[in-house]
Amino acid sequence: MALKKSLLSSSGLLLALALLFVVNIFAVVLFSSARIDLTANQLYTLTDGSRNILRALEKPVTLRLYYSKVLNELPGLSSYAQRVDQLLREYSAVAGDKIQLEVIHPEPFSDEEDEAVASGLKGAPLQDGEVAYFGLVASAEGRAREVIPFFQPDNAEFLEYELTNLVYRLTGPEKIVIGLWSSLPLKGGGRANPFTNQPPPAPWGIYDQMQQLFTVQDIDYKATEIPEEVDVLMLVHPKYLDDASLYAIDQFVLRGGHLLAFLDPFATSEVIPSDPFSPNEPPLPKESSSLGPLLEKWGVELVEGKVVADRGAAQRVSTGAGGTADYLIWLRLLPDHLATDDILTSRLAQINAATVGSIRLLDGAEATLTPLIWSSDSVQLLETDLLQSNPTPEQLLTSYQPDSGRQILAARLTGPATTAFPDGKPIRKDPEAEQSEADTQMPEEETPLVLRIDTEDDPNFVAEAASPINVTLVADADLLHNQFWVQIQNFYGERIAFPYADNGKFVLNALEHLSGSSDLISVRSRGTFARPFTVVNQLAMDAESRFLETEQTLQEQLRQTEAKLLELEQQKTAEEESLLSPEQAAEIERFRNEKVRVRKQLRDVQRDLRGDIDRLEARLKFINIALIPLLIILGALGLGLLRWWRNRVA
Amino acid sequence: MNTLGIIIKRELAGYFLTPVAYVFIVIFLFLNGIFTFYLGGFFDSGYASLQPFFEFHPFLYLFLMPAVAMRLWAEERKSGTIELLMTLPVSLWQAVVGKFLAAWLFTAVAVALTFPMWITVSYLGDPDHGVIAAGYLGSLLMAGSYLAIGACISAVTKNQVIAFVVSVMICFLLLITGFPSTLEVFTGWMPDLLVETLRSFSFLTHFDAITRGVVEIKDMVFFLSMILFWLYANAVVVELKKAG
Repeated sequence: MALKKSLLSSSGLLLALALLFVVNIFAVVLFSSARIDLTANQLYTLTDGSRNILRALEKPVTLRLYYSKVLNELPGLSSYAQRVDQLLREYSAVAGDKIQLEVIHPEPFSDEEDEAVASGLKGAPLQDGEVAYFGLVASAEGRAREVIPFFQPDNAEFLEYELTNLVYRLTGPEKIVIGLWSSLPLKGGGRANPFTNQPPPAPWGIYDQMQQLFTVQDIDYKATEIPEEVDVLMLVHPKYLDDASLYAIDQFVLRGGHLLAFLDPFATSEVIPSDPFSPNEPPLPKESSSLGPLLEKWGVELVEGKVVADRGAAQRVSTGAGGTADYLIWLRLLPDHLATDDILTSRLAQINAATVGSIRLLDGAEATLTPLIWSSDSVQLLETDLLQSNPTPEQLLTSYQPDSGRQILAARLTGPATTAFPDGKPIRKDPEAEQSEADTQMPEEETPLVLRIDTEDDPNFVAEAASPINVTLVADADLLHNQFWVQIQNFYGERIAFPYADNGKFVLNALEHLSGSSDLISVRSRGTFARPFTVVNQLAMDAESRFLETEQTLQEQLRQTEAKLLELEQQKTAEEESLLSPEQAAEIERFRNEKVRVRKQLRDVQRDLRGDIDRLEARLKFINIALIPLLIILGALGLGLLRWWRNRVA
Repeated sequence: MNTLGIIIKRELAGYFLTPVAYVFIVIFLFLNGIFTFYLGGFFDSGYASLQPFFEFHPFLYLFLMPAVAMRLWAEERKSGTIELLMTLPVSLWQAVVGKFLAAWLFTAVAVALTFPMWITVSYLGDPDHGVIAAGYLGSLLMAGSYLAIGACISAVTKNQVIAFVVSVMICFLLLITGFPSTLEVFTGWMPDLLVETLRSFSFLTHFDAITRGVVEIKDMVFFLSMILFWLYANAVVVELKKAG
């Protein structure tokens, strides 16, 4: 009893207060990372990939987070800043003393601000003229500094990937070298067009992303050797390669080199300029990719001259007149068309491809083809010749006749292989002819430069692969083009990518996997922060299409009415000027009124666009604000009435 | 049924057999709805998330929870039934915890009646249910903390109005220490460590953290230790009043 009494006293209370503080401080210090992540995609938990990379850090890394306090006033940014801060602290926690985190709040005109700018951060000007910073500078001994100039909340789902990538680049092995051998201008650049004064085209989004992760070495289109330092060879839409070039690829693969090849029977994204000297001639027809005799030696083929038209996986496009239609040769490949158990494609949500070919194992081949991406079970194989005339989506739909089963659109190829050049190394006879094309990426037509009889003895010649070859084939090169997967926006001079499909992820996964590093792959595929109101969006889209229909009808009516009016007016002036029969005047009046009426209808339709959505909103407001309270009030009143009545009776 | 259960039942009956409960629930639901749609811009945001719903709870609870708690002890004291209560074979702890749990259960019922919100957001899009569940958890924990404070203060005085006002003030203080603008006042002259400690003692900080979908141990510890502390203080007050 005595103990109890003394516990429940004012001094006990003071003790308890002290205990409260102590317990909480302990909790913060000891359990700083212990948590349960209830989010659907484990958004607040580091992926294993990040953890592996962080734990394997050998060199210390310094991370400086610059955040202008004035940004706290912008709620969207301030909550994102908290997220960034928290994530960085986690990195620091997992990596131990290998990561030093400093958080700096640069004041205007301070030394810190100068430091930030000098390091490469981009300040965002605010309304009152002040410049705010929200970026990261990461440095490690002996490596170039890495910078995130300004954190974009829109890119929230890639935050962890960006940060892990950054750390990896700073401390990981020297970058993997990707040899890019491409007939499509992934690198951009080149000369500015002298005729139109347009600046040289920017590099493709995929090229930017590749450069962030790897060292990209552009291989000259006419090359006959693949540089030694190349770890992974990426072939994009190879065509008109002569035997000398093909030999280089042949030997590279047989020696165990990793190849990622994008072969396309018809490259929509390819721009074939018309001959400036004969502009009236139609441009040359688009040719299919070709690796000459190589594919056959590896046991596969790209089905010749055919493109896959797939009703079940077609992309919906807008067709000019405000309508939409399925475009059978532009494919929208969702997870049911992807190999969800393969690391390259397992967490991809959508790949957009265009004018895709089909990869097939040759009869009797010893190779193994592991499909990564495939078509629907019933498709039509269209002749590429048909495509040269640019058929419309509707035309393709009307002539759609499925004639084939499931087609393989991308696959891993492995197995034994022999050289396509058993006689030895082909040599170009006329080296000067290689100089004729100065700087364009566009290959010449096949010229009779290679003489097979001229073979050299290559001391490193490999006739047969010692171990199974390692090739990843994709039957489409268009999926690399920006228009199918990413929007590039300019943010104060920087190109920022906003992907809306996973083409980029797929390519980077493939390159990484081929070069042996899979940790980053698991970080790359993550959930998303964005969860829109799909119902409202659907209503909006439906309203839009209804509006377009009605608008078109009304516009047509308006046109006819105006035409009629014009006709009447003209008739009037043809005859006596001031003389107008009452019938004619009446008719003009009628059409004028008609015109006003149609215009009003158009305006009403426009205003009603949101009608459905507003009605939904009103209904939901009622249900959530008033419904249950009303029920309770009614219930209470009912009960009260019941009691009163009972009392009366009793 | 054990004594604790009996006490809880008695308190709950005290709530539900009078118009108090219904008036409170109606006001709670009504205000919740209004704040979510009009102040929080839930529908306009276009995002399938209940952030606009949860973000007002700290402020709603600020006034509503002291209102629920104020009658717990003050009424007994006023009507004299507290002496009766103390003579029953009921331990002090059972009385304190029982009354608190009853108030908490009552609040839980009111919060549960906001289920149309969850249904609405699931209908409109594909929300992250884990985050919503975390939000409800955080909301209940915060309500519990406010209630514990309210219960303790209600034991100090006979006057329910005074109990209400003082509780609101204390809860308010513990709320605003999380605001950046409040902390600014202190950052000038107080050592950073103290400012951080102040910030970490705000309901808002921990509530925000939980409603993001991550339940951190330190947040759970904060709310639970708060509740336990104020329940203890409650017991001390009752005991001291009994003696005096």
